[in-house]
Amino acid sequence: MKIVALLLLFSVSACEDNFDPPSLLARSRILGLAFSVEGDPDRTDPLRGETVDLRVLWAFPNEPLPLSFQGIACVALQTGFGVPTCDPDFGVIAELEANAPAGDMPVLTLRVPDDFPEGRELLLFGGTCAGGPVDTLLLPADGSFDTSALDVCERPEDTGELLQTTLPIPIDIADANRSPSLLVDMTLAGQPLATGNLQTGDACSERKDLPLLRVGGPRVALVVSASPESLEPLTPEGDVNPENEVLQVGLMITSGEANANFLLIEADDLIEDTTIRPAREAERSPGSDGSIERIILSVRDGRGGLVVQDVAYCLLEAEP
Amino acid sequence: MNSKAHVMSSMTLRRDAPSGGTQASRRLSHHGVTMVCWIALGPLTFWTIAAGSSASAQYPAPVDTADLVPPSVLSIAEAPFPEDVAAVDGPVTVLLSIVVANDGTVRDPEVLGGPEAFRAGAVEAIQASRFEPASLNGEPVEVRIRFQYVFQPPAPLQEARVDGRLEGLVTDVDGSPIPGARIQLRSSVQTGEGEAQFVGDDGRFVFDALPSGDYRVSIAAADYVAQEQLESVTIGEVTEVCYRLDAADLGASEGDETIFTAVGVIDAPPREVTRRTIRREELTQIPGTRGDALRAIEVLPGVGRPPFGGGEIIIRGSAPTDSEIFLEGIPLPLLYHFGGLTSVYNSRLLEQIEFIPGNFSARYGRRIGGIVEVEPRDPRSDGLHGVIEFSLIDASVLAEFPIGENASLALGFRRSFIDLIFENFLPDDIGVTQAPVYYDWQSILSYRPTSRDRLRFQLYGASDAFALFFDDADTSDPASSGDLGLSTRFTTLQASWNRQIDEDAELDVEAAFGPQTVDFGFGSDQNFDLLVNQFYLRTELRDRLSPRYQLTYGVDLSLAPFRINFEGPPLQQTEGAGQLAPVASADIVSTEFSAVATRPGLYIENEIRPTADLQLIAGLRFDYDDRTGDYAIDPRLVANWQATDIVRIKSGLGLFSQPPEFAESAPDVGNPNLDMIHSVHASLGVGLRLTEQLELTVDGFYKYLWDRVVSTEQGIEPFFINDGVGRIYGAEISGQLHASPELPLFAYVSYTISRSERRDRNQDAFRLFDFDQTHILALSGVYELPRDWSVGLTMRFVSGNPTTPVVGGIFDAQNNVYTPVNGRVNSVRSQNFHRLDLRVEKKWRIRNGQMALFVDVQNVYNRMNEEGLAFNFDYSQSQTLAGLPVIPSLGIRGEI
Repeated sequence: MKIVALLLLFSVSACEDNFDPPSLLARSRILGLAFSVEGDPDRTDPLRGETVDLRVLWAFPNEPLPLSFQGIACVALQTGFGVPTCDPDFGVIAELEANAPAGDMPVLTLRVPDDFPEGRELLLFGGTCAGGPVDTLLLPADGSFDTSALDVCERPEDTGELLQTTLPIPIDIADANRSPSLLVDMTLAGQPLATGNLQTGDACSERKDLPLLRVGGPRVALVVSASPESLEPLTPEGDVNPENEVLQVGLMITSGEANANFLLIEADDLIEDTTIRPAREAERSPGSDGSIERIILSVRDGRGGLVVQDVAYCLLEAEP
Repeated sequence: MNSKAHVMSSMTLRRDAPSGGTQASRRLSHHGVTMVCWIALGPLTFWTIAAGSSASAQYPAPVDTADLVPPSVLSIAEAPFPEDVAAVDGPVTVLLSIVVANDGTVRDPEVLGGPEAFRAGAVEAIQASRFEPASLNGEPVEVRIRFQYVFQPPAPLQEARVDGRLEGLVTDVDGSPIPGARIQLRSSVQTGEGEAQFVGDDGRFVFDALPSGDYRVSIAAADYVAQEQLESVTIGEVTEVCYRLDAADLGASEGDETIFTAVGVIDAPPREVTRRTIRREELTQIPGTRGDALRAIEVLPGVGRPPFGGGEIIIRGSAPTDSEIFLEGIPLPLLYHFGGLTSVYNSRLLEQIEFIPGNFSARYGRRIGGIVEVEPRDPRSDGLHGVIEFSLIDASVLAEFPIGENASLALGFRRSFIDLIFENFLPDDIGVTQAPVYYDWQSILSYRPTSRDRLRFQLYGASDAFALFFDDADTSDPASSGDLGLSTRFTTLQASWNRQIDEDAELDVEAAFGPQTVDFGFGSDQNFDLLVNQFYLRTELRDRLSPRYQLTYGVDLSLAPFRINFEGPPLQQTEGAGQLAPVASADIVSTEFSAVATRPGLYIENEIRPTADLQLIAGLRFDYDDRTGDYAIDPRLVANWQATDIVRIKSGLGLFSQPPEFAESAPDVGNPNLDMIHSVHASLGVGLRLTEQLELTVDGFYKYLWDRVVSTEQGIEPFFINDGVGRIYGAEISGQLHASPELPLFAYVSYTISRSERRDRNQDAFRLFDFDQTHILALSGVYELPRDWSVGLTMRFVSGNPTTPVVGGIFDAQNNVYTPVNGRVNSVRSQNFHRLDLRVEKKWRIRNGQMALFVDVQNVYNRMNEEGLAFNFDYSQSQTLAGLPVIPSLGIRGEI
């Protein structure tokens, strides 16, 4: 315990790292898996016998790329830590594979068996590639994964990710989770952020609907807020007092740096903010017409619900 | 018969009444020879020197002639016991009249009486003896005195060899000997005035043929400040001491008490194969420790180095939790503030530190690693003394003074200054709720109600606390935001009673009670609160039933009502775990429970000396842990053989057991059905005392551990099991050079080569221990320069710690974090560590005290040592974490 604290002290006081900021969207990055129960699209938790659609979400700094996914679904072994593992007593429930052209996302369809064991979770484990297919050797045949084989993609030039998630299979639909609502308000430097199909790098100096930031400019506040309805009540196991779920907002930006990579919107605090530092001169040269820069927000409820918001602002040249 | 001038003596001044002059008598004892001298000074006032005085006694001025100083003995030559005398019933006296010349030589001896067979030897011996000449008005004068030379019948050789010896050196602060200094020795069971002698020209003295026990030693010399020390002597052992006296303040009025900084040095009787006794006055000068004697443990052989110098004690490849620090027989809850910054106990209140890296006595239980025994000293009883010290890190104050005739009290307090500067080093997004601050305090009351009893009461404690607020989440873990706080506190009331029952039996009773708390919290998901009201009792009786056999037996009881409140990711074994997953990816577990941990222990030790040179110690220890319902019976054997005057061979073999940590056996998050952890220690060593100043030791060791507590695979229930084993082997070489008048340099050199491995599950292969450090080299030395300057250097070279490579990360889609995929555990090493520390100190003598200014520079050449690896958010990149840069610490100390 003492060491943890000491290391923490050193880490915050003297050991700044030289990594790219985690918020920087410099390459294609996985955002997550979005679940949607067939026939009840807002619900993320399927009951036994129901079918659920899984969409593999990525973020791209520029043009979208074709995507692929290969994985398996199984009953998760109840572990405390370490790489998730299938429970060998139940075997693999389904092998999953999907591909999508650029601009689309792979969609997987999974039917939860009627005899799925009560009180257990579904484990989904697989690999996904941006730009090309997943290496077929990655797909495990028996539910065990060779985690040393981390070359996910067939082609080394593609970007691959291993991913896993667990999903509760409730008995009662009242216990099921619903996807969080979209954030209701987003402002940057006090101006609303634009949504829509905006392309990074496009000229923007003439657009009056975008917040304007300048290269090398000061940090500005990014404020996001959620509606009270976004936070579902839940009753923690072993507790009789209901709580509201917490929304985790993850941030990726195509230039500059977000002061925090995660914002946590709690039940009694429906607004969170952080600061965005515009790109420095050495990092970005938007030209005289300015360039569109995007902020991708992933909103999670921590129980399988995920929505993504893609917003933009306009980055102008540094002040003369 | 030993021809060396190992003189045991006792003396005092007392008014006597032989008319016609001043007469002094002195009793000096050699091996088998006792000399008593009356010093007659003509028509002057009579004085007799006959028996021991109190520690601070000064020679009173003669009644009639204040400027007359009688001659004093510097060295008495030893006369051989006549070979043609078969046996005598008792001492044989030869009465002599001699002239002590003004250069201290003896001439014109006349025999006034005594058996014929002894006269020639007495005359020859007295002519070879040397005196400090008598002086009148400050000028040496020649005097005739009567001298009684007494021959003691020689003791049987075997009996003599089983006695103990106290020998040493008296010097000034520059290390120059103080000839004529008076050493008085009084046994703790002795009701008389003890025995005394004067040191020779080389500053050395020897008390030989001493019975085992504690002795109170008084040291006095003209123009120097007297002092008193408590030393222990064991049969068959040599207790070596060095007393360094401060010059008296000549400007002070007569009778003023002045300060001194002398300390005693003692090589304690070994009950272990390897026991390294740390000399406090040396180790408080070790560079890089800021004068902290307990930090200096790090330079000893077999002691590993934790990352960032984090204060964990890694002894011979054992986990830090496997070793224990004892303060006068009672476990010390915490050794260092903030994980290694400075120790929680004022070094100036320590008598000695004993470091036992393995094969420790049956006196110590519930640990399978090593032991550090810290012995506080009695507060000074010769007047008010105080020390104030300021450095850039902290400030401390210490006061000690007598209370009445037989008691003395010391009070100490320290507070850190880190909170004053801490905020300046933090990024903007971290708020400070409470800047880091630590305190510690000590009070010692020592009371000697009788000459056989010593009572000591201590109240000490420490407090460390800080609280920060992280505005933004850590780059890779959304759970790492919000309040971060850590506070540790303990207060201990400790009482000890030592009774010398008789010449052969001694009783120790020690009891301690006090609360210990640890409060840690980070964000909303991680909390750990621990409250322990620790009660500890130890009773030990040592009884020397014959000159060749001592029986020691005792009981220690740890009774600890405790309460744990835990919330966080599932507990897991951290050693050998590699990179841990972010908290956000874990299912949070919690538990809250209270219990009483009752851990009684019984032990017995038989010390047998089949010959004068061979010591065998057979011990047996029984421990019970009611938390697990498990018990252990651990036999231990140690053998020491003094092969020659120079060479000592030592070996040990024994079993050691340790209960699991509280959390590991806690319900809900641990396994209450765990068993004790066990290990076997085997060691073999050679100690070489090459000269009075130079010692070398070589030790080899092997340890095997079984029933280690390890996590179950992936943390499935029951979370922890006793499936781990370990093996540790290596060798240590160390050399110590003690300061001498000719070479005022003390130096330590130690080198350890070792390998420490663990296996967590039966099907696994052995892997390296987290702190396996193949090579550990430490060099440390301090040179005393003229004009009260001293300069010291410490250099350490240590193999890099093993680390577990992270081969990638898996995206946790539910929590938006990456979990690391660890490669083979501890399969790569960090870079080697090396660092140079420097300490320079200058003292000034001022009226009634002294001041010192010191600078202690850690990492002089600013080596960026690799202490670990940091990873980016998805574990695709890594970079080394550098250790602390060059850190100068300037301090000032004042003593009265």
